[in-house]
Amino acid sequence: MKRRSRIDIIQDMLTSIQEKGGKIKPTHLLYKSNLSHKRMKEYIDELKEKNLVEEIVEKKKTMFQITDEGYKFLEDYKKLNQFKEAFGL
Amino acid sequence: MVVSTILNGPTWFFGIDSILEIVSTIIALMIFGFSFKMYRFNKDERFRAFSFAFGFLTLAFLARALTNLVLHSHFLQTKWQIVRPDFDPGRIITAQRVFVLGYLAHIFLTLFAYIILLALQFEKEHKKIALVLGSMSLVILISSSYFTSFYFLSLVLLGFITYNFYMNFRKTKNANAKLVVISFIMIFFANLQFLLQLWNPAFYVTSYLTLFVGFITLGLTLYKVTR
Repeated sequence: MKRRSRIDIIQDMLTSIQEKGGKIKPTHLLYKSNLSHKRMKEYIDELKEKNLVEEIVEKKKTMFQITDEGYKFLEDYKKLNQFKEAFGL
Repeated sequence: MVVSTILNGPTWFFGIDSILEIVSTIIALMIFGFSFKMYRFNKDERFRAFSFAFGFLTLAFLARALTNLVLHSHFLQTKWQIVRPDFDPGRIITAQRVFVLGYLAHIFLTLFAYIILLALQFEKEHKKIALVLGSMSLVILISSSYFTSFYFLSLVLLGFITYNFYMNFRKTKNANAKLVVISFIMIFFANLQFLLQLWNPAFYVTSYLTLFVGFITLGLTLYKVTR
């Protein structure tokens, strides 16, 4: 199996949140992203820093919510892959 | 005379060739812009190299389009004024200088672009071969009649590039990859006609039209990718 790049991992995490209706519990994200707890925390910090996700509290539970920037990232990732396939990059 | 060798096309086409080339320039610029944006997005060096290739192509087309515009107007003026007693022969010398500068810029920028595209298509271990091939082609260019050499070398490089794009299409079966192959086949044939117009001026018009269609197809690919 091909090793995922940093950008692929971010895309996987954001897609997991999107597929859950835009919000996800940290435990679900950990399971879906297929990362260790430590690595996932690093990525979450990066996503929050880049304003791709935000941490919210809902019914006293912490959740991660995808932002507009996060949706834009997914759109750009899709375009990137289409461009990559078209030109064989 | 040097200037007359490039004014192979019919006079009614002068100016139209530059307009068609400027459209190709804009499309190349858009591809440069998008691939550079993608490089900033994923920091993949291949996207940066790809954007540079299209950046060079943009400058190459711009150089030829502007040179043609200047030459056509200058040459026609000179031809008109040559019968007048106040005719200044210095205008022909200036036109020749514009031609040499503009076309040399076009030749080198185009070859750099094709070499980068070809190097990108080679696997890592064969990249050096692509670069050596490219460097050798530049040496050959300097050593002989540069127009014939340039169009011939471009044809060879474009042949490899188009073949690799075709292999990519065969692997991916992607509709956009198919459009890329079609556009590069057009660009290849446009280049073949640029070579042939050195002997038969009839190819001057068709070469610019084929290049234009090739770049419109590339523009369509970009549109489909980014919409």
